[in-house]
Amino acid sequence: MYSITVLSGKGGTGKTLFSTNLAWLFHQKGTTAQLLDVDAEEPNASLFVKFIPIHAQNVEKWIPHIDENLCDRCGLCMKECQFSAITIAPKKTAVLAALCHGCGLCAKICPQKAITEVPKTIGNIRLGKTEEGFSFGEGILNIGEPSAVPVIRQLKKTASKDSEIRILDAPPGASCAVVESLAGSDFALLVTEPTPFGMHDLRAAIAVVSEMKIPFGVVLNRFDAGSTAYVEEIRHLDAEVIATLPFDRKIASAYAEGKLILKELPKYRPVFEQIIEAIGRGSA
Amino acid sequence: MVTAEGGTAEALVCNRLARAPFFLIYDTQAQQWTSFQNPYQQEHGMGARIAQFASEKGVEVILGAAPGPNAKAALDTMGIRVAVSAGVTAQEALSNYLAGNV
Repeated sequence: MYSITVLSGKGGTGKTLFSTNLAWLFHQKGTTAQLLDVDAEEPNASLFVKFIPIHAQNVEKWIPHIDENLCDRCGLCMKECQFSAITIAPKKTAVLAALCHGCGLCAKICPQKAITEVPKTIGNIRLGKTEEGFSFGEGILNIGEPSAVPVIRQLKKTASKDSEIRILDAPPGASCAVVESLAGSDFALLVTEPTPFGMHDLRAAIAVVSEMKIPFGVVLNRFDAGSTAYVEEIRHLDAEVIATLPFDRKIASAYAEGKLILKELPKYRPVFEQIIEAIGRGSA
Repeated sequence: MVTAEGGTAEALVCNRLARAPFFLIYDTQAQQWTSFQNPYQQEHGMGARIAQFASEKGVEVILGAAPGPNAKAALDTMGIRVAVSAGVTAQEALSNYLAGNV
């Protein structure tokens, strides 16, 4: 299975537009494709494909439970917890579940064996296929939960590995959730826009994929007459612009109606063909 | 304990609680200030760390910015109160508090 992660740095540059249309195009061309929406804080790829869920499961984080009768208030867990998730006082103890990363260290090191780990549901994953016929999955983080990482990890692990191509629609930014999305990917598609904000966040995204040694290409969305300077700027970042999608009101209208650009505006198919070709070169 | 911008009693109260650069502790019996640089400024979960720090030093009340939810939960566990104080120096915050004006 060849795995492509679509990320951007800046939000709203077109990650979902490119990942949904690419998955559809791969499928059209007879490649078995899978699309995973790993933007678990606000998954939206299913607005553009008709998702038929077949399998769902909860995602749990294991957080410490302290048995007050066994705890002798030594404070070792509080001292060692890197995330300050445990507070031990002479009369009370508190576990701050939102800060806990579920690493299990506290339970392992407690000299009194007073700590057990209990599951807390933080979200869920849904797997199935689209009406168009390709494999699809999405992760959903519960409202108020601070980290999507466990949801992304479980979705990637549980989803079938039978497809030839897996496309991951990543969250915006360059944080832990993006790193988790990228882990194990063969290629990263960086979507950006010709604005100072787009460029700023593209630099952060390039830094992450370079650090992870993942081959990548850049796609410039909303390209217009004033964008050529940005192509030059991107080249100076040692990155290649593998395709550009023009600024076109019709694209925005179709997208706003939840439609795939390739179905509504087939004249843009060469842009996506170009991307597939570049990905092929990147893997060779 | 006052969460302050600087290391002396003339320093302003910081508008951040756990990320304040200095923690100034006033001993009401010895009537003396002790200054500590905040050792946790860049760490994860500073809210809980400040509760641990204050508790170790025997602090009963913190004068400073209103705590966030994590800091509040940790401070409550430790039994440490926060009296919200802003726009004054550490010395003024202390005088106001001792005069019962906070």
